[in-house]
Amino acid sequence: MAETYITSSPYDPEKFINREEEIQQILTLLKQSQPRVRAVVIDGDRGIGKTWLSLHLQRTIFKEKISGITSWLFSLWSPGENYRPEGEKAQANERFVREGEQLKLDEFLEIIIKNLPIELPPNSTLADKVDSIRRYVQSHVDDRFVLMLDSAYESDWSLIEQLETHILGNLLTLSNFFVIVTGRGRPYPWKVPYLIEAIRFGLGEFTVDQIKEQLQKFGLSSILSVKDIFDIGQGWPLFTEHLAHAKDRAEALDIAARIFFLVVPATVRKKIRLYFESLSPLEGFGESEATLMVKTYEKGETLDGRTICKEMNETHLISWKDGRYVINQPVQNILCRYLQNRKKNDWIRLNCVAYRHFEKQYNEPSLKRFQSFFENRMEAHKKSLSEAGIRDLRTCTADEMMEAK
Amino acid sequence: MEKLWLAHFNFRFDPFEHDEASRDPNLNRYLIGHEAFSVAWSETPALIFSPPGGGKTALRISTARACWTGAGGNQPFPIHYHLSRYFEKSNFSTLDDHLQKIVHSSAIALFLAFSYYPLIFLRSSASLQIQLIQFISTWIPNLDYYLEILRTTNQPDIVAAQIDRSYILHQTPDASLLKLACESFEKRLSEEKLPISLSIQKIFERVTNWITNDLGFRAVYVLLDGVDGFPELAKSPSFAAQSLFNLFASAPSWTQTRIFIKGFLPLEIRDHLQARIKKQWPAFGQVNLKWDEAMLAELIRRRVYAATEGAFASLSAVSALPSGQDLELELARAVNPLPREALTLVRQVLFEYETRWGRNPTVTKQIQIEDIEHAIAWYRNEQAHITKELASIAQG
Repeated sequence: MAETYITSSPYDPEKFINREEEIQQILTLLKQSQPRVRAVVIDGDRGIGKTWLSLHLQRTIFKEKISGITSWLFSLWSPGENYRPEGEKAQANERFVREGEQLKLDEFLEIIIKNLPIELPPNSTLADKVDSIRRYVQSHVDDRFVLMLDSAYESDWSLIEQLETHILGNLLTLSNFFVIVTGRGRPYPWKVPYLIEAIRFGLGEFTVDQIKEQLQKFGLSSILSVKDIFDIGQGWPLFTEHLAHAKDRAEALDIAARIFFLVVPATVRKKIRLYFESLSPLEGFGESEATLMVKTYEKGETLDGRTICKEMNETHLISWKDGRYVINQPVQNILCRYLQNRKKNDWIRLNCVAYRHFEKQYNEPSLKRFQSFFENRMEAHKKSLSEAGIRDLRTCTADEMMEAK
Repeated sequence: MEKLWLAHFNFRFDPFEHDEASRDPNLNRYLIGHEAFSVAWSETPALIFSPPGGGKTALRISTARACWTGAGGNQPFPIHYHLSRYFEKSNFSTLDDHLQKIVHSSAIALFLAFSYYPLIFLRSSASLQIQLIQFISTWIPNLDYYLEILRTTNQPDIVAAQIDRSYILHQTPDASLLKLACESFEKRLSEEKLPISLSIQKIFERVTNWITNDLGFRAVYVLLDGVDGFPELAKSPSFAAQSLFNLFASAPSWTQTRIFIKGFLPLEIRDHLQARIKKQWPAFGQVNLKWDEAMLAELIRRRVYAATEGAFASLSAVSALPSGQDLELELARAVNPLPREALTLVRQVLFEYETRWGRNPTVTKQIQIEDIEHAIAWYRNEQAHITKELASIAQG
């Protein structure tokens, strides 16, 4: 069956809600005369609203709420072929990369220079260009210049390294030049002191009231209650619009699960989603669990755990935390509920296998010192299975699963 | 020897390879202990104390490299004042003794800065260029030799490695700009030099004025290190403090001209120095570099993270340890608490892995518990006793 495409609305200032606190924090920073810290890093999971906030700052706030600002917005990673948060029409001082496209440093500089009355000498080098920008910014001390890099962590890190080395490290030394970076997943290890010392904040989830307001502003009436939308979408604004179209909770879970994987190239989407579903019952995992769980779910050939982890990692939907890979919270919540609701047999089977995996390790003499850890894991899966109606964990067979259904 | 583990574990580079900070091009990517960095980086005179192997040099190199992120810009200008460089026939009893060496160091710093970033030199006025060349050629006698290397290789790293490794930036400048700068230097070198009759104090003032006013740097950072590499000074903390007294006593007044001295000093001289510069002591930002298990574990994790481009932040990810176990903390607990020691043990773990895997290349490409146990046993038998004393100083 062909996958139904889900499209999200592009940014619209009339539909933007919340984030007053974050906006105020940025405006306060921009209004300071000699701020010591001039970089802001905003991180958050997919769908929390980082790109909309960047667009709102660029297209609305910097035009209406503060004077003397020149700003540029570069979105360095594409959320897939079906979503253009910037809309169809290109706007000045903005550049959103398309899927599979690589932005070059030269183009980056050209966009910045295009907006400044700078005359470059013929055959200008990279250093000449950066130097010209620097001189211009330096000579306009009463103005503010803001460079926004959206989806930076998800982008090609070699581009970030070039930006950092040739542009950011240089321009951030000027007291009227600011950088705002957004990203999800693994943070880029900056070497520029101004970015190491950046102001950092995450974006919070929407409340039930904010979801309600969002529905009103989008002009949507939904079959599901606002509370259901909040419950399934976990307050992530990206979901609201889509969940409003669902005819019931089951379909809403399908939609929510699908939205996450739209960031994955279509050619590998099915496979990657399978990996995530396989591993969603686990609190965290390593390579051996990846092999085991995917094999259990797929009922097929044994895949290399390292390859599975690497491919999952490339989606930026997992991260390394406390000695293991962890699926990002909203993704895991939704997938767990999706499996419990839509694929109950698989959910039981995966939990059974996980329980037995930890039980085996618990009984392994060479791993004796980790026994309490295994015991905790066994307890967690025992609880999940008990909730699914499975009582005897040692004889968790297909028949019993049928019975539990 | 080929490092098979790099490919096996998808590392882009070996983050444990370099004991000497200047050789590590990625040093600034895995900086930990931001408090210490903030002290070194802030616009105040600063004193950073630690025992040998405690990370003074790494922090000094990181500070200098941070000055060059973004190709200069409006950054501080770093001058490495490395005492052990002036070991022979030197004394440090007067301020002028120090200034003499700092001026020499600043000539090196300027020459290498122009080599890496020729535009800084080329965009200065013609008259300043003449003065700069004259100054640099006076203090670096065999300049033509270094210019020849730059012209033929376009690699300032080669020249920095010969003059002072601390300046190596692991970068290549724009070839056409470097060629232009070299031509300017060579043209002026052939001209007759004017005699200089200024006092060392005046020369120091003039050089720092060029840097902060004419070349556009917002400050000068004089990064003093190498006290413990100097036998006379290392033997007697009191003598070392006395030798540094005149320099550090002057440091607070230099801040008016945006010159900030940063001393990366052995912990043992702290009290002796404080007793001599009681009045000026509060003007210095200060930090003691101390290492504990948690920091050492973090040091390893950061390196793994940077080298795998964030894919994972622990060797546990490529080990047979149960998920959720803290391999780094286990390694950190096994060593004497110094960064160098942690790196030594990690290298041994990887060596044990490679050796075992090499005997049977069909086995899983994972670090096994036995690799870790063998490495720790090796460390305890072969290494631990050597650095035990240093480590106890590091713990304070």
